[in-house]
Amino acid sequence: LLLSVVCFAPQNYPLYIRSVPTENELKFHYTVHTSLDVVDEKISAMGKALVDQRELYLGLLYPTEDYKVYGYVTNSRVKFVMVVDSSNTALRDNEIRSMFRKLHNSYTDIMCNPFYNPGDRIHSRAFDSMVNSMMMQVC
Amino acid sequence: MSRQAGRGTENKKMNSELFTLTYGALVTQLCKDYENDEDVNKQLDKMGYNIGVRLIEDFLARSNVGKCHDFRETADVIAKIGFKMYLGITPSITNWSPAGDEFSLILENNPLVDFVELPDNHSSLIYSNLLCGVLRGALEMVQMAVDARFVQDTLKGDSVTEIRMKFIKRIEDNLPAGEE
Amino acid sequence: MTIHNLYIFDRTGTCLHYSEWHRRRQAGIPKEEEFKLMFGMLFSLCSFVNKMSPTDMREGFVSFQTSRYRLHYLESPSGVRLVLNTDLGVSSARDALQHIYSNLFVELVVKNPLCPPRAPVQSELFRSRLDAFIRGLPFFAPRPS
Repeated sequence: LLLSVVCFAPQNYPLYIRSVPTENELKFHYTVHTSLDVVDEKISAMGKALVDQRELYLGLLYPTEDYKVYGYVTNSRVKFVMVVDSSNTALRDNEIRSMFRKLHNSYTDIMCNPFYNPGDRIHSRAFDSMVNSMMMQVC
Repeated sequence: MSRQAGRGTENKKMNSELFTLTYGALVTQLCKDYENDEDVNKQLDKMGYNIGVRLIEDFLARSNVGKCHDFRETADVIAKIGFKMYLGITPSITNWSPAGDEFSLILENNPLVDFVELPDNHSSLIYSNLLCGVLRGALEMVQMAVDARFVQDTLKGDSVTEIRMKFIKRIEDNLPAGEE
Repeated sequence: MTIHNLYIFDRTGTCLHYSEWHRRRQAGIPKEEEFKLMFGMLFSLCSFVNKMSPTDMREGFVSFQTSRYRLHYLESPSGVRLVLNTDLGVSSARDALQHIYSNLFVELVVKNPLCPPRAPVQSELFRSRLDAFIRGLPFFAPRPS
């Protein structure tokens, strides 16, 4: 069950936040924000290895008792974070990878929109519908 | 025949994304410069016109098409040869008026608008208005005064993009002043 | 076989370009007058030919000859008119005119944003390429008179 998708700018402020509505939405935002620390850690830990391998997928950032958080960073330091329900063990690693790739591709399309200024909040119908379909698919 | 056969007429391939991004940068800069959509639309039309009056010469030189005998022939040439040559698409021609002086060009995909989403504050912007100017300018150089306007636009939520072309009149050749 | 001169006019009668190579006799009138005369004559001749043609016509006026020279004519559908005067040894210069239009005029003048339309061509590149092309034509060499 895909609970939340967040996209962060290189400066670590959010460009896009989308969550399944629950009472605990604030908790999502908090979880996601703390996961940024883990992302930064991973980036600096892997350091040169990351660049060499061109590996964008960061894998499982950390599991909590309820959620699993996954991360992905692009060459331009834009970060994507996904929160998935822990009880959902059916989601495999390469499925998560392909979801991130879809996010990355949609993000690239947004960059090509001449009306989008890099660094702005993302307000795109195409991006919204892609995230919607991912969320519905996974449930 | 000519020593330089083909030299000036080979198709120089260019990445279409670069073209789309260039056009997008042009439109957004105009939006910043002019601040209101109507003025931007006018500028796009003017620029298109200036392109059209030159493009027609290139088109005639490369396609070897002779004079068209009527507006229907013109429509065919525009859609099947002109659009194909410059944008790589072939719009379909529909909705002929009973008098044969108006028709619609239906573009299922418009390479100018790949990846573009119109923000809400530019709802009256006619993003691809350059095309209307090009058509108007090009046809004026072959003695036809026409009006071209967008009536449907995928950027505004329509399912296709439709340009309505209306024949206004034939422009007669005039002798330069001073001749008897 | 020889080439005398070349005129290029636009739709409104402005002479965009004129070059001469082996012109032995001048018209005796100022160049402005000469261009007007040439254009006016062509205009009348084309409309005469169209009107009086006894059969359906595809291209209209193509050339005329006198006892000493032949005038070759090409008109694009956009109204650009090219006129080449040669001696009688040249039966058709249509291909040459077509090349001058498509590969020289369109490429070097029309596509140059610094060449304003309807103004005489200032482009040095056009002038030199045109000159090279004309001199390279098989019928260029002047006949010893």
